[in-house]
Amino acid sequence: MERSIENIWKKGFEAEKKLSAPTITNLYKRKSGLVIQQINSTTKKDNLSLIPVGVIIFGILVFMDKVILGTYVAILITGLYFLNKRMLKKLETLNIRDNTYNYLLNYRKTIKNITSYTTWLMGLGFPLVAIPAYWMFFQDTKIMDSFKQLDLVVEILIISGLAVVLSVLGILLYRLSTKIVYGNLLSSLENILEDMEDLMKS
Amino acid sequence: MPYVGIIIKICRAYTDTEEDFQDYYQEVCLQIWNSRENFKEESKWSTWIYRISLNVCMSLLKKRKKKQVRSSDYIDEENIPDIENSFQDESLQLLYTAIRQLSELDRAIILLYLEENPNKEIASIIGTTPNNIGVRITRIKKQLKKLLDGKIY
Repeated sequence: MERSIENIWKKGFEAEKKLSAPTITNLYKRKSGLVIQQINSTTKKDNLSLIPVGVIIFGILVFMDKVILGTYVAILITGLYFLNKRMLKKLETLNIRDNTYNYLLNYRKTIKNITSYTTWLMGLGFPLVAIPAYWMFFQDTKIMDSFKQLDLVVEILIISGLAVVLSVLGILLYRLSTKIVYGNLLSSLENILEDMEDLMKS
Repeated sequence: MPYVGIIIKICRAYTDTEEDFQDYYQEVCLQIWNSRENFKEESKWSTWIYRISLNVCMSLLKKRKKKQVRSSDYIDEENIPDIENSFQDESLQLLYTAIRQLSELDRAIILLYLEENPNKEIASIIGTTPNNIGVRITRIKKQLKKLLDGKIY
């Protein structure tokens, strides 16, 4: 007599020994892999976008007859592109065969190092490179002529003030752009790490 | 982990290979873990586990089918199902093979039915009426009987 499907199911599972749960060894591997992949691809795209920006600025400045300034800015942007590329390579050198939790911890640490280095660069480097650019931009203009007529102390104060404003502006712009572009991805990474820590505790 | 049997039974019904089963199982566990704070006391734990497990498995299967359609020009020898190794009980194995030939929704319904969930409970998980579930179960059982015809005694 043919057995009913209900009977096959019930009796089958009563005798089934293979119903033990698979070990959840890499529970977060795929999930984190996706986030890491997205961060890596976004950083690459973000860095590559510097090249067209450099070309456009160079083009505009050449059009405005500011060839030296255009070349200066283009060189700086290209330099920034290569610097970023070098920093981002650090993310690729992390040992991916390490366990997922350690890998993510190292990844987060490297991201934080890169972010703090870039914040420092924007805070200090931005005014250092932007002031000469301003100088070149306003050279032989009435603004520069009247600036040169000022007292040396006033000139230093103006330049220092400008440097501070540029520094703050640079840091704020960098933080804002990082939050817009990477905010969700980085918080996903944080959430995964928090979940993994919770899982280890429980 | 409680209710692990439910997850295993569901994942087995939606996968053909051991590798896929491991992937689906991990994804279901991950989703249950991630949504644990959304669990509302108004439903039973088991109902909630069924709902998540079925949603995850059905959506993973849909994604996989789309991928297979895209790469259907290529024959991937590694993806030939190794379904014979899922269970030791031969009849159960044959039943699972038949269940895997059903549509995603029908698989869900029959799994819930075989797990002795009342029609009302199944209807609430699937999102339909108990009457509709009753009609569908009769139809699915006929279909399974046809698929298993002469194979199980």
